[in-house]
Amino acid sequence: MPYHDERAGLDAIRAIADRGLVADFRDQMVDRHAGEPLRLPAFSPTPSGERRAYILAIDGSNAYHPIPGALPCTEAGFVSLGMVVIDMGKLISLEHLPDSGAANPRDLRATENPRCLGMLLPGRNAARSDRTDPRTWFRQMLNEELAKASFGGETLAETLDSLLEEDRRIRCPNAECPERHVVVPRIAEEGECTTCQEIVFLSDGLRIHEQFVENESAQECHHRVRDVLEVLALANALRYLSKSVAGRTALAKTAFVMDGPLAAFGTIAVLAQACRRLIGEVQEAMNKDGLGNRLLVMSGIKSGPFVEHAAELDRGPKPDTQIPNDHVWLPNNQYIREHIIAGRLDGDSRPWGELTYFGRPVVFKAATGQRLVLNLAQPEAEPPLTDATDPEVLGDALATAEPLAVGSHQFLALRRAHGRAAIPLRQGTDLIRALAP
Amino acid sequence: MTEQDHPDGQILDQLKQDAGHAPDPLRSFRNRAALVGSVYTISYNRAIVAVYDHDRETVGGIPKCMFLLAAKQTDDGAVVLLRVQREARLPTSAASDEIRQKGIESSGNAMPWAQKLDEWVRDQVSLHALECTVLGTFVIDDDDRFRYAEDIHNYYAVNELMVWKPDAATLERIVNHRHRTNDILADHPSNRIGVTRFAAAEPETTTKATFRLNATDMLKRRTVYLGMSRSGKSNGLKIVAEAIYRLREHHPTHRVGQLIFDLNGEYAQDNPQDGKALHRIHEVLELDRSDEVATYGLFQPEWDATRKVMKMNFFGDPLPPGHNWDVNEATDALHQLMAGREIIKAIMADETSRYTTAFRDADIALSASIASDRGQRVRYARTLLAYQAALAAAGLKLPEWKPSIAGLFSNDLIDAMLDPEGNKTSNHTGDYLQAGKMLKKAKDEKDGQASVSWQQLRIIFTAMNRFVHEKKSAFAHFDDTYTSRSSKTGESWADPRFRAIIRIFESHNGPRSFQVANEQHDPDSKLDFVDDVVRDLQNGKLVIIDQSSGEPKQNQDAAERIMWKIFRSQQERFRKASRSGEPQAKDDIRDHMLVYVEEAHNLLPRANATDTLQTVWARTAKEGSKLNIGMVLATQAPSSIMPEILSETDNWILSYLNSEGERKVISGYMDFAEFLDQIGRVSEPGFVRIRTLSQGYTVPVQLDKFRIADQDADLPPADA
Repeated sequence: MPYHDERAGLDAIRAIADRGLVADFRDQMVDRHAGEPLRLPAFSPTPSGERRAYILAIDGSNAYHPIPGALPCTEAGFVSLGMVVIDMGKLISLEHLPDSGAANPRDLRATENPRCLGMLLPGRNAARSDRTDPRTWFRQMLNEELAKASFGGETLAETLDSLLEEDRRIRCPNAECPERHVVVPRIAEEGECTTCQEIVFLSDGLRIHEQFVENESAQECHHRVRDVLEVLALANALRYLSKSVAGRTALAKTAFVMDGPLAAFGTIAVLAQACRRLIGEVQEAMNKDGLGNRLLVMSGIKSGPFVEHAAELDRGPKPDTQIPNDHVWLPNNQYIREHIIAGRLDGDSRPWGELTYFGRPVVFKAATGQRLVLNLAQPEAEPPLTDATDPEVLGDALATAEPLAVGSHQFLALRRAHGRAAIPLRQGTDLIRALAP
Repeated sequence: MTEQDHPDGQILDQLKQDAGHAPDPLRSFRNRAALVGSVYTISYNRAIVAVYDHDRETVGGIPKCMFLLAAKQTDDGAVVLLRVQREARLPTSAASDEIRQKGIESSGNAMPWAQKLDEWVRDQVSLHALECTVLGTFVIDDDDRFRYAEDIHNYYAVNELMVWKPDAATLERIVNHRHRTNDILADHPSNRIGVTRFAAAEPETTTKATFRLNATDMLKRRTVYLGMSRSGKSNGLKIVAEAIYRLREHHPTHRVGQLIFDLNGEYAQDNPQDGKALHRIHEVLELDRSDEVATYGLFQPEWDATRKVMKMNFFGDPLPPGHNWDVNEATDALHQLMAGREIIKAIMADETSRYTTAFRDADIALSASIASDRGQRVRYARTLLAYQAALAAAGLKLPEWKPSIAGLFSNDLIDAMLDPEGNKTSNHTGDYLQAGKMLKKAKDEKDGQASVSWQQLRIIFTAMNRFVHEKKSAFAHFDDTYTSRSSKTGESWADPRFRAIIRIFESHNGPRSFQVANEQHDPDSKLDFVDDVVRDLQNGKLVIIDQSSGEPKQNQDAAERIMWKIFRSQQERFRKASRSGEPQAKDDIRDHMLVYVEEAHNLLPRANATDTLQTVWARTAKEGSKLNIGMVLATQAPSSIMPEILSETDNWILSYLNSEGERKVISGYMDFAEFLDQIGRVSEPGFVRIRTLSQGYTVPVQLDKFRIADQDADLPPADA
C-alpha cells in the first residue's frame, strides 16, 4: 500500500524494463486480434421451442462493511438471496392503456411471486463475546442459517447434506489443528475432530472457512456463501418439485434461471458436480413420467470473457451488427480454449469447465436484436458438455429467454430476482454500522 | 311499547333527527373515487404523492391544481384534502432520467424511446411524484358529517395514506363545501354559476362538478373580479348578479337590491351576440318586470319603455309667491335644483378662475334658520334667482315658469343704478342704466307679477355684478345708506353669498363652464332620479344605470351622486336600527344592497393614495359592510387598488392577468400563489379561480355563459 504523500519513483519499473520482461511477456502471450472484425463462428438459426409458462429466477447479493467502534478492522456482512417465480403468461398478456402505454402496476406485480432469504455473518476480527473466534463464529452462524433456510420444502442444510458426496473428509476446521481427515457430519449428526475436539458442522463440508484468515478481509468468504446459497436454492427447488407428480409437472412448465455461470468455483466446486448429477436425476425422474418433459435450467451471464467475446464477434465494425438476429451458437471446447479461455489444448488436459460447470455456454441473438450469453444445463449429456450435441431443451430455453432479453443485453428474470435480493447500499452499510458497540 | 316511551310525538322528531339528513358523499367516496397513488411523504403543508402512469391515465389524468384526497384505505375519520402543485422528484428519479436517456440513445430517435423499455423498467420509470399542497382536513363530526379544518392535526413519517382523485359527486361535495357563513339567513342561497375546470386543455370526458355560488357570501362584503379585458368579467358579473337575483326564487322576500353601473350598455341593452341582456333577468323567474328591474339612462330607447330617463330639472320649481313661504315647502320645490347644484359643482371641480370658483363654492343650501326672518328669505330668493339666471345663461333648457323679481330689488337700488351722477365715473354706466330700466319696468308692470325674461335676468345680473363690485359705481353709497337705515343686521345688501353667485356673470365664459350639465337637465322632470334609484334598490330591484352615452366625467359624477345617496340612506337605516335598539339587520336580507363597479381602478383610491376616505367609493369599500352594502369591484389592474381595500376583500374571482406585476399583487392573498401560473397563462374567457367567504380554498371554475332563454328572436321591447 502506498504511504501518505508518497510518490512512486521509476526505479522498479526501470528494473523490469531493463530485464526485458515486458517484451518477453508479450512474445510469449497468445496472440490477440488487432481490432479487425472477428470471423463469425457458425451461428445457427434459432431452433423452435416452447416458451415455459413460469420462470423461477434465483439471484444472490451481499454487502460487507467494517463495524466502527469495535476491535480494529472488525467487519461483518449481509448475504441475501432472492427467488422469484414469474408467470410468463400473465406477463406477456398484460394489457396496456392506449395513451400512456402503461400496464397496471398491480397486475404487473401479480405476475411475480417473490421470496427472499437473508443472513448476517461475522467477518474479519468479529469475535463473539464468549471469546469464540471470528472464524468459528462464522462457521457456526452459516451452519445455523442453512438449517433455518427453506422455500417450503426441505431446509438448505438438508439440500446441502444431499449434495455432499459420501467421502466427506476435510481438514480440521480448527486452523491450529494439523488433522487433515475429519468427517463432515450428516444432517442430524454431530461431528468432532478426534484430534482437537473441534466441533465440525455440516456446512464445513463447503470449506469456505479455509479462506477465513486472520489478516485478510472475509469478503471473499461472504461472496462464496452467496454463491452457495444460489446453488443450494436451485437444488432445493429441483429436489422438492421432483418428488411429486404435480411438482414434476411444474418442473416441465418452468425455466430455472440463475445469475452468472452455472458453476461453482474453489472449495465449493463440489456443488457443481453435485448439481450436474442432481439435474440428471431430476430429468430421469421426469423421463419416468413418460411425458417427454424436459428440465430447463439456465443462467444469464452479464460479464466476463464469454460476454466480451460475444460483443467482439458482434462488432464489425459497428457494435451489435455482425451476429444475425434469431441465431444461436454454442461454442465447443476447442473454440473456447482457442479464443476465449486460455488453457492447454493437448489431449491430456481437462476440457474447459468439466469440474466447475454444470451448464454450457450459449450465445444467442434474439429476433429483437438483443444479445444474450446464457449457460444451459444439459441433463441428457455427460461431461464435457461443450463437446455434446445441442441440448434437447435449447429451443425451449431460447423461446423462454427471447421475451426476457431486455436493455443492454440483459436478462429480465435475473434483474427481477436480484431486485429482491439486493441490499440497498446505504441501508446495508448503516445497518452494519449500527452493530457498533 | 307504550305511549309513555315517546310522549308528544317525540318518536317522529327522533326519527327525523336520526335519519333526516342525506349521507355525506365524503363518507363513501372510496367506493366512487379513483385510487391514484399513495402518499410518499407528508408534512403540515406539503405532501408528495407517488403515482403510476397507469393510474394517472385510468383516472383521466391529473391536471395541475386538481384536488386529491388522502386517507387510509378504510378509516373514515379524517380525509386530507390536497391540491396538485407540481412534479416532484423521487430518490429514483435520477435513475429514471438515465433510463430515458439510454432509451433515446438506444432508439436513435427512430422510434419512441419508451418502446425500448421492458415491462418492469417501464413500470419503474412510470412511477413518478406530484407535489401537493396540504389544504386541510375533512374531519368526521358528531352528526356524521364532515367538517373542514384548514390544517392537519398530525402526520406520520411512515404513513398509510392512499390518494384518490375525486369522482364527480365527491368533487361537487368538495368544491361546494361551506366552511364559514355570513350570518345572513337565506333559504337555498347557493346557485350554480359554472363547473369545475382545472386545465384549459382538459377533454370533454373529464370529471366535472357543478360549482355553486353562495349568494349570501357577496352581501355586505367586498368582491373583486380581476382580469384583463375580454377575459369574461362582464359575463362573470352577470352570472353573479343572476345568482343573487335567484335568492328570491325559493323565498319571495329574499330580495336584494343590486345596482350596476353599465359603462358600455351591455347589461341594459340586448345585443345580437349575447342575446337578452341582464335587464331581462325577471324573465328567468317569469316575474313582472316592473317589480324586479329598473333601468336608468340619459335617453329613452324605443326598446325599453320602462327605462327611467336620468335627468332632472336643474332650475327646480319656483319658490312659492311672496316671501312668506314655508321652509319645508321651499325645500321640496328646490329639491331637484339642489341635486343639480351638486352636479354642477362636480362639473366645475377643476375650475381655477376666481369668478367661477366663487360661484362653484357658494353655499346655496336652504337653511332652517331663515324660517322666521323675512329679510333672509328675500336675500335667499334673490341669490337663488341669480343662480337660476346663471343656469339660463349657460344654455340649459328653460322651464315653463317665468321668473319674477317681485320684492327682490328695492326702488333705492334701482335708483342707484339709474343715478347718472352716482355712476358718472363708472365705465359701465350704460349697463347699469339698462339693467335699472329693466328692473323698474318689471316692477311697474300692472299685473304685479314683476316678471322678467331669463335673457333680461342675464343682463340684470351681469350689470349687478359690476355695480356691486365696482368702486366707481353708486352701489357703495347706496349700500352705506342701506346698512344704516334698512339692514337690521348691518349686513350689506349684497351679502357674500349673493356676491359669489353673481360673479359668474363676470365673463360670458362663466356660465359656459358648466353648460354640459344640459345633458342631464330636463325642465319637465318632477323628481330627482337618484331618489328613485334608492327606492328601487330598497325594493329589491336590479337597477342598471346605462352610462353608455354621455360624457365620462358626467357619468362618473352621476354615479358618485347615486352612491352617496345609497350610502347615506343605508347610514340612516343603520342609525334608526341602532336608535331603536332593534337587532342589526343581519337577519333581514332585504336590508342589503349590492353595488357592481366596473373599471374600479378608475374610481377607487390608488394603491399609494394617502387620502383614503374622500370618495364615496372608498368609503363604501371601507365602511359598506356595517351599512349592509356589498361591493363587486371589477378591474384589470389590482395593483391600482389600495391594499387596505384588497386586504378586507372576502370574495375573489381571478381571471387572466398577463402582467407579472399584477399577478404579484394577488400572490400575497389567500392561496392564490398556487394559481399564478395558470392565471398568467390561460386566457380563455370565463376560466376563473374563485374563493368566496364561505369557501375554505380556491376552486378553478369555468363560468357559465349568461343566457336568458330567448323565445322571441326579435327581442321585443322590455316593457312590462
